[in-house]
Amino acid sequence: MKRNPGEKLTGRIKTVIIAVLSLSMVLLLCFFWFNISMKDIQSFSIDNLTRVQVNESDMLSASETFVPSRISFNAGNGAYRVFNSDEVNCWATEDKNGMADLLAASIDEGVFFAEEITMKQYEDMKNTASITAIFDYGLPFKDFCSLIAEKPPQESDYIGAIAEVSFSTASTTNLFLKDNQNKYYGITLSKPGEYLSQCVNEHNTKNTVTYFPMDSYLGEAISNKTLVPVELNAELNDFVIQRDFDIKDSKHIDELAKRFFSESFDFVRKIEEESGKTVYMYGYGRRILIADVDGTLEYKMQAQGDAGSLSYLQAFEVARAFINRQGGFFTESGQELKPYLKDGEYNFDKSGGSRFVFGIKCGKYPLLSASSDAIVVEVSKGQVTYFKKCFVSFSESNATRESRQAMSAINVIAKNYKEIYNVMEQNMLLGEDEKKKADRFSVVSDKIENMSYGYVFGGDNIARSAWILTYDKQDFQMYFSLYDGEFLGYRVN
Amino acid sequence: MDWTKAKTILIVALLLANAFLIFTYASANKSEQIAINEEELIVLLENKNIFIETEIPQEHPNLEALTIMHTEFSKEEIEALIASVDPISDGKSQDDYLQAVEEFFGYLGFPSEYVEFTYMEKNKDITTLFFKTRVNGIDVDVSDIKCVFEGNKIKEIDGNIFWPKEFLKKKIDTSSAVEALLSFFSEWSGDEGAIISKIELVYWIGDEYNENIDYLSVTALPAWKITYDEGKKIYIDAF
Repeated sequence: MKRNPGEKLTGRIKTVIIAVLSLSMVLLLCFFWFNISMKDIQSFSIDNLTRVQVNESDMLSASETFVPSRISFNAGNGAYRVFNSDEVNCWATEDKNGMADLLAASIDEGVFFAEEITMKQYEDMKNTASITAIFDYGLPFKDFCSLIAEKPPQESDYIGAIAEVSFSTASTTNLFLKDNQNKYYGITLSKPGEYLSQCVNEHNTKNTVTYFPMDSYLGEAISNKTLVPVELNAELNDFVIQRDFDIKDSKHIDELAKRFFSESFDFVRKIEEESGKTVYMYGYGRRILIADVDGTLEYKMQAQGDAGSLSYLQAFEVARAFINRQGGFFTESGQELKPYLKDGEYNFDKSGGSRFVFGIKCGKYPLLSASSDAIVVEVSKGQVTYFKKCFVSFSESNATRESRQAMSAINVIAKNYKEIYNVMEQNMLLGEDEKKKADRFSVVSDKIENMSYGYVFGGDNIARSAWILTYDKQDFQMYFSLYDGEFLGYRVN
Repeated sequence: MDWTKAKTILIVALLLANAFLIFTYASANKSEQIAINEEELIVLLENKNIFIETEIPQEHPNLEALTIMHTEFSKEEIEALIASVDPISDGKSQDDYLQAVEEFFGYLGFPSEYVEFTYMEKNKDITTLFFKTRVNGIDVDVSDIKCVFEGNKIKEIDGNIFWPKEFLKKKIDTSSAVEALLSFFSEWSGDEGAIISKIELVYWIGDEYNENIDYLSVTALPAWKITYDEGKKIYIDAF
């Protein structure tokens, strides 16, 4: 029986109603299934969709982050060559014959054995044709073993954070380790480091800057073994930097702040101070974000709950995820920065918390601020309780020019030792014994822990090529112009 | 098969199912409504020697967060303006004072719709009028203005002056006064009890920024201000 048009229309309407009711029933069931409350719907914000999380693949992994700060090669005659760890292929190689690979193999094959040795034995080993991987940040040896091998060896419990890992051509079936408590170990390998021996020979004949220990320049009065270049022809050039945000751009600052408070931004107090600083506060100080006039963002949060502490590596993953949520290592203008781990500490708060400090590079060289690091993250009780970010944009092509001779490292110290001494004195960085010494030059020279070069910027938005003198485990640095040795500034943490 | 009838039955079944789900969902998601009424609350408070000697507000409108701006005038500016203003006529009723102050505020650019007169004090030849900033009937608690007359001439304008700069778009669901008193009760640790003399909804900026006013603008959020024991105050977030 044919249906009349009215019945057809009714039929279609019923079909549509059935479809709508079925869909709404599915949605309601989803609300139950995923336990979505009305508050979740009310607090949903379009901002959540536009958050600037970067791709996982763009974020540094733990194995890419925890690499040596630099690698030095000793020719066996007192001459050294120093490289960034990504400039030489001897730490972790594709063929699994780098220093980290050999250590991993010895752990996995069950031959790992760490024997404590004396400082003299360690120094004697280093004085042969050798490679030394230097770590400026504190990487707990046990966590490092977890990273490279299936399971850390039992002995890793009593070895502290790695300061140096060395290989000597005179003892190719061993690696040597110095920890941050100035203890030294010889570690048995499962196979000889033949490839590493080749690396030593190859890099000691390279036409690069040669370094010598400082005491070989300055005589017996100085006992400092810090490596210093003989002479340096450098390509570094001063260049302009742009801060990551303009404090006067209120709208942009609000957008940055939403990344930290997201769902609770409606209940955040915003305070604009006379200095120009803008403070966002949630819960009367429970969470605070400060956007400062110098382009830094500083976030603090009171740790919630009684969660136990995490291991260094676990804390790193928490820190990494947080950095990722804040845009990773991209500036607001979209420039991808080159980060490196500058410093780190486990149990910095005496409660099992971890601290990570990242710097950035311009080309091969560190780009430092005289006041803030690129990123500082503290993780306590499994949460990020402190985060500070100071990013700048720049054009890398402006950062280099034709090579010219830099002022020698020793002359920089000779020219400025009084200034350095005065700064140390003003900031109470001198021990009583040091204050009593008449020879200020030797006091200043003996305390240097590293002498490197790169770029430094201050309040005037110019990054200047500079000598970087590091003291006190990076808590104190002095900066001098690379080419004429003029004082640029200093930083005390 | 009679599809028309089948469709009708299906529609009815789906309607019932949806209604059931909506009802169950709504019941399950009722926010922690305080299962306590005013009388029960009073009894609870009295057990801790806390007595309420004021009416408990019944209304609590939903409010937007408010950005308030700190306004400052230099001493020289105020003095110059005071010197140029005519004294008020003899008679000096409260209305005369108010009119003079209103005119003066006009010269300073104070938006009159946000200025609320609170009270007047007289001490011999000195008359002081107190004002607050009030927005949509809610006091901005940190803002207070004092205007001092000596005789029939303005002598001084003083206080922390805040004006509304911007309302945020979203309205905040405020909690009730009863919920605020319950919070007060749960946080109360005093042994001696307390007498609550006033409960009011205000815009509040928090203790830290209330003490040190060296900022340009700040967000004020709704809070219940409970005044007890002759002038002591406690603020409880009303969201």
